Amino acid sequence: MKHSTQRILCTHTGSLPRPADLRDALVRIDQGDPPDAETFAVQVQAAVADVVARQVAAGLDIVNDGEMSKVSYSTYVTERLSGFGGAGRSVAPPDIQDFPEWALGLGMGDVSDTIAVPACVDDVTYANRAPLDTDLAHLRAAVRTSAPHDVFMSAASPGVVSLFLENQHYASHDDYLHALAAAMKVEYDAIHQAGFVLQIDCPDLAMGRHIQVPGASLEEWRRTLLLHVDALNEATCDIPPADMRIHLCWGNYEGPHHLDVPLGDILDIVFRARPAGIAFEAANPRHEHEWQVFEDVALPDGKVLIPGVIDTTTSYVEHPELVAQRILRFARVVGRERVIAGTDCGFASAAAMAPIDPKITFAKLRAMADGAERASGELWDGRPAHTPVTLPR
Amino acid sequence: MSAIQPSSSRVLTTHAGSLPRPADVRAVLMRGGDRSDDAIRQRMREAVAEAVGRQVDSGIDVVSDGETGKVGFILYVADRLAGVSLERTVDGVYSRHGPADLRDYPEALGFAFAGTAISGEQEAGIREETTMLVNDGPITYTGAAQLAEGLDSLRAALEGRDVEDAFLPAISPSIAAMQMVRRHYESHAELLEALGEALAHEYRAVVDAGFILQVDTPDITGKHVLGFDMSLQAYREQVAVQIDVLNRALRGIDPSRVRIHLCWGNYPGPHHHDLPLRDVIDLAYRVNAAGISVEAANPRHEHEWTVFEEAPLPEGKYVIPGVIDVCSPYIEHPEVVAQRIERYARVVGVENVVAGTDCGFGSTAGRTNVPERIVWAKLSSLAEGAKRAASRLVRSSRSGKAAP
Repeated sequence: MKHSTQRILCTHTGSLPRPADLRDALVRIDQGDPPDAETFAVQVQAAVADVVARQVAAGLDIVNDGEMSKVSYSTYVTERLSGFGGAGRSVAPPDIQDFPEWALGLGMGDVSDTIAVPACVDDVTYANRAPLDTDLAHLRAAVRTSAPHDVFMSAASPGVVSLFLENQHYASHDDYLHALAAAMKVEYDAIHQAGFVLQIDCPDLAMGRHIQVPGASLEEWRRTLLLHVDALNEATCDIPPADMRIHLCWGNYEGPHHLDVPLGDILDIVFRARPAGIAFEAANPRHEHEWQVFEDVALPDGKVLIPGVIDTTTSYVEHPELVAQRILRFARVVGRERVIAGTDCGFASAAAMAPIDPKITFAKLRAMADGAERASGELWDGRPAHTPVTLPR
Repeated sequence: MSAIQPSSSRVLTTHAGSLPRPADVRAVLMRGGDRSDDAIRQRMREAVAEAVGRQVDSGIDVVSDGETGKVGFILYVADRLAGVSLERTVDGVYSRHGPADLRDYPEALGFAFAGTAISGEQEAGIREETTMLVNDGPITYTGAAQLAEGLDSLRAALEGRDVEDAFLPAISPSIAAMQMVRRHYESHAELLEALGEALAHEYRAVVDAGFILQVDTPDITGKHVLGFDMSLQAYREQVAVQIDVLNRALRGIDPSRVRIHLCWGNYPGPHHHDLPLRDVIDLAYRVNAAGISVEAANPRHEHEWTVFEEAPLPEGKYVIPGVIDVCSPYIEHPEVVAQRIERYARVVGVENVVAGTDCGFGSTAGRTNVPERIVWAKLSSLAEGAKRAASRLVRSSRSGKAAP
């Protein structure tokens, strides 16, 4: 994993809006009516090449495939893992349930109807490597053309799979987690061996608090969290920490978020996860203040922060000076070389849901790169990040 | 009621004026027409009292009537001015251009306005035909009775309520002129002058009634809507003229009882063409108003507290930064609110900051970006954040003074 040694590097969380035809194909796959496999593969390949080029053009340093081939960042695993079928319970955030009138506006009522959620009904194994190998090949090809600074690929954590795909087979939650860890290890190792930075998506470590176990005490939930981190560490035991990052989030939806667990309540457990990089929401109005946590809690050696400096739920294009201010707050606390600029979450966590217009998405990524340049100027060259006031007479 | 004398032991809270109207009130406003019917008047009064009660319960110190009786922050003047009427038309500044950021991303319109009831001026520029003000005769102020009813409603609503102060918004002459199709006056300058003279009656009546007057002045900052194709210099010259007219309309009014509200349009669009505050802050300072309310929470303007470092707040003025984003359903964490307040307080002094919101929660009666109950939760977060900021700021200023 490259670090911000000479300037602040930029990356993002992973998912980007799919082209319309690809989105339609992914929705069909999700509904059990897959389009022609060859046509689909061609669509994905073209989309990956394009999205890598667009990230580089927007000024991003550490890019990915935009999750073009995936129905969603977590449920894609059902195509690759054995043991899933039937119907599982679907989860809805309780903060939204507190404000049902908002859920209606979001169309949240429809989501569970369009996204089928199976359950774990049999032994989990990594049964189908073909989609993974295709993803790796597409990204490898796109990178050869666009030559980015660094490349990452996302994979679901054992914990997030357990959050969204109900266990109806294993005797305990812990058994389920270990089975998922053993299976997902295949994918993690393959991504690492391909030479990409492995990003493990871990909303279970933050959003899990208000989605998975809203009734539990913080102490009870922290015990569950330890199990999730243990499973993650087991699954990544053969990969050097410096080649991995995790992504924490509280749910990529435009909601009140008043039940989100504070970062400070989970950070000690998050630090126990092996990956060196920690990406997390730090731009939206529920988490923007949490840079201050790092004034009280020292960042362990070797860890690097990837704070979200772009809010992925608003169409406002962040002002580059705001991006710079957000980066500077972190850099002043943990040191400039230990900060990489990122986004709060994905721009299309599920293919069918891209709340921000695609063109605006890339304008926001550009604003991040411009802001990182301003912050770098201040951090390395002592040039103020903001434009001075020069009023005409 | 006392004038605002921000005390260094507290950070006062307020908001930008409009709040979500109850459904039945909204229906009355949207229907238009006569409101002198006793039952309607009574209901409007109740609704103002409810709006005040909600604000007090949420911890707001300087409250408004929620603009309960207004159909929109601009269009309401049609009821109060002779020589001005409403018309569905394709003419007019907004409908000719629309916000420049949305011109760049026309496909974003569906996103920016999805799930909301679009109406009034927010709709302008988006659909080909929209409701515009039309000037078809000499303009005089004929709204004294409606205004008096509004002032009485607010006064009644405040009885027995523990508030620091209360304010009432009114539109600036120039924003009304820009939203107006001119058929009577020969020039824009004459129209602007006539509007200034007419609206002066409203401004004075609000202050004479003991309330703070808030003049909504999006015309100072709204270059991307009102003058996108103009050079900055030409736009600044235009704004300077507008401010001269506004200051004449404010003549004789104690500036400490006046605040202005600067904004860039209350819609969840990309906003990448918004004029930087630093380009017009000196002009905003020229208005004879002590308070300056400005968007400072949304991602396009949150960084602009730095402007006040280099363009210091003139003596006697105070700033009302928006610390709540009115386009986002996220309920701001009180610590986010506190940090935003502290950034301003460190630059302009804690005694010169009143915590506010970016813009209204119902700039027009028919449109809200955020559901009502989340609005109250956001205002409660504002109050809680202001308390946290005050306790820290006062502690640090005390320890500073105590230092040898």
